[in-house]
Amino acid sequence: MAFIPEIHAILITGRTLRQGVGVADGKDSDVYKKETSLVELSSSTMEMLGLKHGDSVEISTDFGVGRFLCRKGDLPEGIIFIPYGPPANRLTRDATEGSGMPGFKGIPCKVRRRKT
Amino acid sequence: MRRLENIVCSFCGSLCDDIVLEIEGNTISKVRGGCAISRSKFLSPIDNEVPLVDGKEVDFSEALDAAVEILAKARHPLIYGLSSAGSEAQAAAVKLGETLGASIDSTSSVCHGPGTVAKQLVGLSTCTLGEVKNRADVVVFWGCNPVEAHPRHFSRYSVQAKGLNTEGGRRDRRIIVADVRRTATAKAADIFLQVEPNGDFQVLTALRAVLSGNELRGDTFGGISRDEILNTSSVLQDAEYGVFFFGMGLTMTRGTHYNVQQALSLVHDLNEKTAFTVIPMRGHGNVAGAETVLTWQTGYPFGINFSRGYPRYGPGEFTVTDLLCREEVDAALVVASDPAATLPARAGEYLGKIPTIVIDPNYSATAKFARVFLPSAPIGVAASGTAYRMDQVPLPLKKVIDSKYPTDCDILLAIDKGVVECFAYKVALSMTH
Amino acid sequence: MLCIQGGSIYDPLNGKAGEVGDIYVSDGKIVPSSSGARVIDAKGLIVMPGGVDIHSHIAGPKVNVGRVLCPEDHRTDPVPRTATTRSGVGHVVPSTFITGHRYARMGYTYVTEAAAPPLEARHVHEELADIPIVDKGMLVLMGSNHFVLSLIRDGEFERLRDYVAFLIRASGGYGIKAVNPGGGANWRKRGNVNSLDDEAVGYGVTPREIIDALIDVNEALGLPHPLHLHCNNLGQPTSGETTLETMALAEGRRLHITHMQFGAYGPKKGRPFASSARKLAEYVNANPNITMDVGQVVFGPAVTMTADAPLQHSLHRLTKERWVSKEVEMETQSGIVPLNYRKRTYAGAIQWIAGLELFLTVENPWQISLTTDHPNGGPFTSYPWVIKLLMDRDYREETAQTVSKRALGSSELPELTREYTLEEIAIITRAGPAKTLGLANKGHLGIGADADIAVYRPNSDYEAMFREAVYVLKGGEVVVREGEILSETVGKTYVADLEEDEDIIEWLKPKFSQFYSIALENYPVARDKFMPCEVVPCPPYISD
Ligand code: SF4
Ligand SMILES: [Zn+2]
Repeated sequence: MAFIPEIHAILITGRTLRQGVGVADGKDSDVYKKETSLVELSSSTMEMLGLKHGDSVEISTDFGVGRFLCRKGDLPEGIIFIPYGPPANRLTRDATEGSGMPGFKGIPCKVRRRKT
Repeated sequence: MRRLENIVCSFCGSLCDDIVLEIEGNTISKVRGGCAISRSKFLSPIDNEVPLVDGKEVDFSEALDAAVEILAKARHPLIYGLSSAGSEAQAAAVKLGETLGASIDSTSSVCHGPGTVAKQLVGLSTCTLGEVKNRADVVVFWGCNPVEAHPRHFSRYSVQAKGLNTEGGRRDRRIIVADVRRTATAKAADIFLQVEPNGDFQVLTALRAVLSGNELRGDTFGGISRDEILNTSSVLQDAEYGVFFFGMGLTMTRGTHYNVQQALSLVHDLNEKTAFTVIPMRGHGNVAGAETVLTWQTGYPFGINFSRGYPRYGPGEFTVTDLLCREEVDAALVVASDPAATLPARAGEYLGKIPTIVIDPNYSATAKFARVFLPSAPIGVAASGTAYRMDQVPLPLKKVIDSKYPTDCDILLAIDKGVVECFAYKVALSMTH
Repeated sequence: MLCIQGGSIYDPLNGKAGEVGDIYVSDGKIVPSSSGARVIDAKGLIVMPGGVDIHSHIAGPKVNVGRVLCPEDHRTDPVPRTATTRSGVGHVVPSTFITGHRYARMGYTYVTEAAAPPLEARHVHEELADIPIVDKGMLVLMGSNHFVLSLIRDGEFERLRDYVAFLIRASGGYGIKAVNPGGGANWRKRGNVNSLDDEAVGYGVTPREIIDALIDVNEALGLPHPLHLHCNNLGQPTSGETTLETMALAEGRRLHITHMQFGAYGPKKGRPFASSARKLAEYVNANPNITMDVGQVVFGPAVTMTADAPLQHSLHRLTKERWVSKEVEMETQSGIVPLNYRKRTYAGAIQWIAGLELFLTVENPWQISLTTDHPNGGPFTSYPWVIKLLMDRDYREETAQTVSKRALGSSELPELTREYTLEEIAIITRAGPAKTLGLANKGHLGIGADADIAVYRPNSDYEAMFREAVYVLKGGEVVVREGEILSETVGKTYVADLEEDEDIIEWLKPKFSQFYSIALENYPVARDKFMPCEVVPCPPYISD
């Protein structure tokens, strides 16, 4: 089927233990690279998009687009999570609205499966 | 083999000071007591990098000269980072910033800066982590995930820790977690409030409303049901000694400092009924020190500009993301941090367009496109200094092995000296003409 | 070698009150006359020892929070860098470099940081090291310390003495400070002690017992400075009575009551309080064992910061101002509230009046020191204004006419005609505080004293005269000329030299690891790390 389903969601970025270990090991380390190019999706989101663990998805926001490998996370419907890192930073809001703080959490985004 | 006890791990804001190191020759061979992050940090080899200019290996002094030249020429340089440096290096960075008329900002602006702005608006009732260990019977973690970001926080200070009035440890405490995700921290909670994205302000406001005796109209508030609000508010009030930790879940979401202001005000309100305190869950090892040192030297905690010869304060104006996205600075000096990996892409990419200098023990994402890379001795491993824990308690970082590279503090002072000489030379030159 | 030639010398400790003479300086000390010295012409000028501040808040965690809290205040007072000096900001809570500059410009060369929690002493020292020019000493907070209270309860005097010595040593302190003794224990449950005989909950000891024991410990250790006490009930209409009772319990032993003005109020019907300064002054006049500093209130913005956390919470409730509060494990607590003293309000005026009444009714100037409890009563930069109020009766009366009439009418200030002489000012701003602090080489210009010297140009406007010194010498070096900083020299930190005692560390070890959140090994501040140190010897105290 040519139709590729796409859903709207809210993106949260944040720290994970493996990302922390990765920072300590070095940004070139495998553990860091791997961890920061993952996206966590809720099981219902994965179902909706017909995804299984390790599939590739494309995520876009008003600020950029990126490709991530998905894994299942304990998340409420409509929320996706990406560990802090350069891939996530392509998607976050760079305007600080006068606060000095960019938008790292709560960013509207679109998620779709990449053709395999 | 040498065995050293009570070493401080400066990787995260918990600054655990009970690490035991075994050292063979000039190498740390064993780490006891630390968490996984700590082991990685202490065991990662040092002095693996070389000084670089334009990607080519050079003598250290050559790289230093290149850094001096870039900064002396710049009209509006930025000094950024500092959260993984000791307080001595942070002070040296302020000195250099003053010499240069630079903007200076720490990673605070992209982590707990909004919390500090909120403190400037309403104040803050706080305590040291030992008070949490000794007294806290209700502990709130709001928008923070210590299980993953501060792995030993629970056991040393906030959940299982046993102290003066908390001999039962975990049994003596009620744990409340508020987060958008059911994080590993949330799984340890007695009460979990699963907040809607960007709903924190609403939930906090509802809690304040209940506390001040108002009736709640509506069924849910920021994703939390009325019953959950009522129940949570009574647990908070019933605390003998409550502690509220908050993290990026408040500072990074919509409303930034307003969210924190509401949290700090909630704790103020609770102090009318019982003892309640709040502690910002600071991430980087010495990001608290960056704010502390910048404040005692300039009066302001972050987002500072020296272009008029005196410090000016401007969150949103002199903060790193704004300066880079507006392309206002023409050179950057990054100290012990990695903006290319941590800031929004556009800000990070601009650093590649201007001459950027990186001082760091490790080659970083930012170092990849920096004009100059100066490797330094890692603080708390091959350099000594002071770090401030998330509750502002200062701890000594020890030098346990030797590095062939100078400390970031010495590098900053050397750059400052070089720039001062450069400026003096320019003045002398202009007078002879 | 330097000679300050032909000035009128005010050196009360050596009995000089305006005699014209020369002062010789070599290697940082005052020396006998000699030839070949470089001459500073001081003809027509006034020469005094460098000023000594017995109580101020200039460095450490709570001072720094005071700085963070007030960007709006700093903005009004930016200070650019110069070829010789660092930049920063004023005004009420200046940044560290500016703190050093401004004390030095007024001719001050020694400042006491009045309240350091041992757990955060390292922070205090890091800031002290960044305050240029002036020498400094630090008092260590003990009035609600868990181990202090427990040992008093258990009647273990010797162990208490040794533990206090350990605390001073570990934190690099100069003396003992107690703030609202016992109140901190109750503050943990958001309560307080309301009289000298209220119990500190969980310890079963009273403020009276705590003060009594700490005075004894202070004397047993032979510390250079008496116990430095912030009394209970401060700021309350009951404070005057409490301060009187507190002084009485010293029973002849040395005791320093700090910022007495804030504890010099009595009840008044329909009003928050009245001044009870006269009663307190009478007690001080009859009891030479008591010394005090005033804590004069200055109109305008201030930032109140104290270990008296309950007081600060009530101030916050009263004013609705920003409130910072902090509990430091096992040791102490603090509160910070920005404030504005308004002359037209009854309370603000009474506080201003009570301070002046103390100044004017305490007869022996050696017992009273000038302070504003900076920045609690107002910034230290207002000392020259306070001096003018003391020396110039016409100006004082004029100013009194601008304050709340009701407050002035209820006070005896209008009847107080005393005017301070220059000699008396030299006593309350240098000779007296130096003597009370036990600083043998400060506050005077005798042979062997530190060459810390202030030279002023006489002016009938005493505020102008004391605002900017013509010359200031610190350790023999000219650091200020016509109010301008010539050089940011490094000051020393004064610490009391107490014996090491292994037993107390053994006793403390298990308790420390149980109750503290850091290791005992990381607790003491390494002395050599921060500042050049001047060690003030204390007599041996361990008898066996
Ligand atoms: S919790 Fe933080 S400070 Fe403690 S050992 Fe782990 S990384 Fe280091
Ligand atoms: Zn004080």
